[in-house]
Amino acid sequence: MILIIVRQLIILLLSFLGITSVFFILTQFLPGDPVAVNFGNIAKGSAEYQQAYLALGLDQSLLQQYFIYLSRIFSGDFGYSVVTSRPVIDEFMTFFPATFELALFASIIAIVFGVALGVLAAIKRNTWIDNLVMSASLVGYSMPIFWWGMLLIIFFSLDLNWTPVAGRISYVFDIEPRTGLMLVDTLLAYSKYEFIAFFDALKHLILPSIVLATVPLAAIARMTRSSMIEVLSADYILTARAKGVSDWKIIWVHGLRNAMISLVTIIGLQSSVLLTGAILTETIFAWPGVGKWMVEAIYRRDFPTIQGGVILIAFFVVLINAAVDVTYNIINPRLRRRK
Amino acid sequence: MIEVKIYKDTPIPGRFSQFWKKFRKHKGAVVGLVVLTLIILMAAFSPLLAPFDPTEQFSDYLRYPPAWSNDGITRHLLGTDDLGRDLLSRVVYGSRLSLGLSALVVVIATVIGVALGALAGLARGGMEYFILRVMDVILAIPSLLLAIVIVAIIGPGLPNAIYAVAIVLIPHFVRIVRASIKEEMAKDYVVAAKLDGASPLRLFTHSIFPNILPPLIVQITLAFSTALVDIAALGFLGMGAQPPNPEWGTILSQSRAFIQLAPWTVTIPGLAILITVLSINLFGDGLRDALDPKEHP
Amino acid sequence: MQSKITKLSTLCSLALCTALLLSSCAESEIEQKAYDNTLVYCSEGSPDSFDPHTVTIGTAFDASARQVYNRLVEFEPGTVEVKPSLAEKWTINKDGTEYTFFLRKNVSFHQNDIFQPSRFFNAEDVLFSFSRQQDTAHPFHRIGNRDFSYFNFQGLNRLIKEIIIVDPYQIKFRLSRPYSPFLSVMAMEFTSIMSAEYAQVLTEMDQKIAIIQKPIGTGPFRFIRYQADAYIRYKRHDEYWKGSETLENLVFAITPDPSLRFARMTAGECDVMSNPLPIQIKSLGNQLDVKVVTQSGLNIAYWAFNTRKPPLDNPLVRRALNHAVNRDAILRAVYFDLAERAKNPIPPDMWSYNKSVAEYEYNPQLARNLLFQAGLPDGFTLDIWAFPEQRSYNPNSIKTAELIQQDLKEIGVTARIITYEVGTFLQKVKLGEHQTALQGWIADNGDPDNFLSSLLSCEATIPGQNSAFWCNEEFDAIIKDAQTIANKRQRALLYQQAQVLFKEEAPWLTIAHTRQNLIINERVQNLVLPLTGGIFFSGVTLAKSEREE
Repeated sequence: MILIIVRQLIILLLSFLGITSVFFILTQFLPGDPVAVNFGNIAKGSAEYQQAYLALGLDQSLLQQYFIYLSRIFSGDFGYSVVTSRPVIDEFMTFFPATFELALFASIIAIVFGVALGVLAAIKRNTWIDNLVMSASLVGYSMPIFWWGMLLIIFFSLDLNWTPVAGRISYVFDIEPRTGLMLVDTLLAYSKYEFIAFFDALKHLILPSIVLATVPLAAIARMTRSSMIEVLSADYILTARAKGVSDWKIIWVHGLRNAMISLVTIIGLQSSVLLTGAILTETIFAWPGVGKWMVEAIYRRDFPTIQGGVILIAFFVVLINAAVDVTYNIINPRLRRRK
Repeated sequence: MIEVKIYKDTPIPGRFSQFWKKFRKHKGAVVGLVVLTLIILMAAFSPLLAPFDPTEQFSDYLRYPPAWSNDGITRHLLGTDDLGRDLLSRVVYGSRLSLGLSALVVVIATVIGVALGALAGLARGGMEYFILRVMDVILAIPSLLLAIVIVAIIGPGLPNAIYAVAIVLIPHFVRIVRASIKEEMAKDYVVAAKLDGASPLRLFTHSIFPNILPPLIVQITLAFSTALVDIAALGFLGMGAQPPNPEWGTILSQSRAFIQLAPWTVTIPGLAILITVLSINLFGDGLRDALDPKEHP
Repeated sequence: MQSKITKLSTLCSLALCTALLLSSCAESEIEQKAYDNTLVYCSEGSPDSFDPHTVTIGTAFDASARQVYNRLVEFEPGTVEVKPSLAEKWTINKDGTEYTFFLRKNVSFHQNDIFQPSRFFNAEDVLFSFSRQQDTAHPFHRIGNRDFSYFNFQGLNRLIKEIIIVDPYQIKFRLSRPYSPFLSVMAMEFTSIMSAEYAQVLTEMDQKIAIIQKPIGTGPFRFIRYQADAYIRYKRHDEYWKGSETLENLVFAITPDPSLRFARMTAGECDVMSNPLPIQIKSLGNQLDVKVVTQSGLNIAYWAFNTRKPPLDNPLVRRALNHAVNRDAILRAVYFDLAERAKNPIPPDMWSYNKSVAEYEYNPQLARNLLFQAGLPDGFTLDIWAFPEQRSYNPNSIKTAELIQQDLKEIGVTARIITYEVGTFLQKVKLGEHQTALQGWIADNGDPDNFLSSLLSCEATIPGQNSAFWCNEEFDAIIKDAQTIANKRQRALLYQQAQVLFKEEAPWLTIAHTRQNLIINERVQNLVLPLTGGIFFSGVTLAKSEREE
């Protein structure tokens, strides 16, 4: 167990070193003054410029520069945004909760409905229900979500006027960002708006999270179905059934629990898919999260922001993958025994 | 002349006919193959099929709806866009770009991915570890983000978008090839060949490669659909093909401004992407079942 | 057992639906009250800074100078007549080189979580606001590390010789030469008055940067909070010297995508929408609860030819390009006929506009002949630079470029469209890397000098606002002359002469003058658009109305 965690930590560290090295190398090839690239526009010759120059170790060898770079990154110093002049790490912290909230909500939708549909299809194998679920999930899996989002906006927001078009909350409500998670912040502002702001935030969350959940939901449904079918045809299930264990119990206790093992892996893989989807979803719904932040930074050629953002996002993905790996090792008895 | 056969002869079906027999049973896959073939034909013969040049502007026919709606005209079957360009022609020509580019991306990713995967699988030790870690790094960055970062650094435009998407796809190939090689290397026939003194290269090309072909083909179809969606997404974000190129994602991003006034300029190109990706995935599903029955009971 | 699962999912969807219902049916007083007190403005982008002294784009002025700050003088709403603001009155000496402003008393600054003003506005604040821009050694000069583009660009760095505080409510500007547009310039956003006391407090706290991140001004609205790419929130300034606003909360909902902005507008999520596309205005027609506010704009969209790059150094070629482009087609496809074809570099609403200038009519044959004369019978290749963002003077530069590209094919010129993101684009154009560029200009003040010398003088080729890099001595002499004359009639004559010269030499293809349009909700009242562009929310009120769901 400890061995697994240590192994994961080493992999984590190596991946992190890899990502940062890639960026360090890229910075060398980037046109322009390295001070400007890292700190934004500082007038040449000023005292601040000199300070920045020394802080980057530009008077030292490349290797030393690399170590200075690493120590800066590890201490959480990602430089300053060229556009807003704010520290990149601060910017990340203001945008990340929005993405986290969206991704979390989307994951819940994807897992709950994905597993339910997958189980349903497995039980009703080869019936029209199975066919319907499988066809729908294939369509969902193939969906270009930027188009899907626009379709949903046309239909639900513009034609039916059921859901808001964009944003996280109606700006009529003045919600102070304390945690950055809108659902939590609206509850903290209960004294001002009671539950009204909370429901408004929820309403804003629905369409984007459905869009973001589409592809993972389809993938989870397909995966659940196939692993469920595998499990259900296993000997121990047949035995259990012969012993008269109820169908519900078989599905819940034996089937799903075993199918979970492969599910954890796919959920881990989906974290990267979710973040990719978040870039598009946030762009379509004007959702102020890291995805939109990155796209804007790229449009504005804000290199410190791009660099800091990508490193932090990648770090987050690696972290989730490591967590999934550890979980996988814990819940999978076969692997546990081997270790 | 009568041919006399003494023994009742059942020809042993070849690899391909074996595969075809299984594949045919998969109805969805056959549909996917048919649709995909049609789309490929459409791409190949777009100049013949498209009624107009994709960039020709009919300034008197701005934003005409498709022919089946009340205000539509049959001359422009799928309607026209905000510059009066025939949407059908744009979508037909767009298939060239979307399919062609994805194919190019997949070729690049396959060649590099297989080479690196083989290297990792055969080399072992430090080299293997290094390649795998690099691939892990690439995998850790969300694919689209990596692609747009690459485009951001080397500049927008088609060739750069192609490199970016290809780089994103490489790790999957490397992993599959390496894993298959590991699996095959442990098998007796490889050990036998090794004992015969076959060089690693010969071992790879003659003994291993034919056996890792099935998973590779499945991965290629997967990569193809990913490439298509990613290129469209880049186009949508304004970092892939640039207007007036009729690449589907680019058309979508351009017509986004008309989502309420000319919704068909949004729905039709999107539908084209969906149908193409769907047919590739259907085909890929069938392919996987037919090539590797044990994974999917 | 599957029924249990179905039940479960039904339950889930039921819960969701209830949540939806609850929220959409909540016609509570709280919500209604919040709605009645808040104006949501769907703006076109994030401001790059809240520093009115360094920003250059309208979006940023809207977010800072126009709501948070005041100037010494201001334009009468809807006109370009200069009237008193923080200065109650002023005197000008005979030579036109000394301007003395008499300042208003009892004007209070905003407060925020780190600053509580202890005194009223006085001459110190004026001095601070100008020396910060002029003096490169000023402790607040480098804050934000940005150029004082407007200050330098208007030539104030050389023009202002000295600023003297006569007494706390009297301040004198001594100029190095007579400069007749000076008062108009003093109404421009970049002359916004900051608090010197705030600067001092921030220096003590070692948080100088806050001066541009948490702006403190004397304006009608005080800045509350900004979340990048999401929103900016303001509250009315209760001690505003003109009297407190009736509008309590003002929110800028940042929505760069025009289709999304329009969708938000029609869905009732915003009360005012900036920069609607012409086609969106046309489609509004029968919508009851929204309407269009329109104001003739002092602007121009043009296609600049870099006259330093052959073959564009040849006037014949430039005239050929003028004849080659069918501008009416551009007006139809890009502007949806909501703009006027431009003939001169200044708009028709501006004084000194020359109606009698001869226009280049669309004539491809003539264009080919001109190219033949210029020794280019087989045409040439040309880069058209355009940036992929919507501006009030051009709703779609890329589309304009595509139409021009099509027209140029006719005369044998092969055009390539080159795009960069706005920041990069402007930077590269400034350096003259382009061959031709699609650009535009919105008046900062009502003076023709603001167009002619800012965009076409020899001096403007050095900082590079003159993207044609056209430097014509005769033209330059005329506009320099006009700056020193106080008589408006005489100046107008000179400017008319300059326009003729401009047209003959054709450094640009003048494309269009657009009207400025906003879409507003019916409940928004008293919104007057300034001639010089942008939006001021001072004086705007909201009629009480039932919130539509």
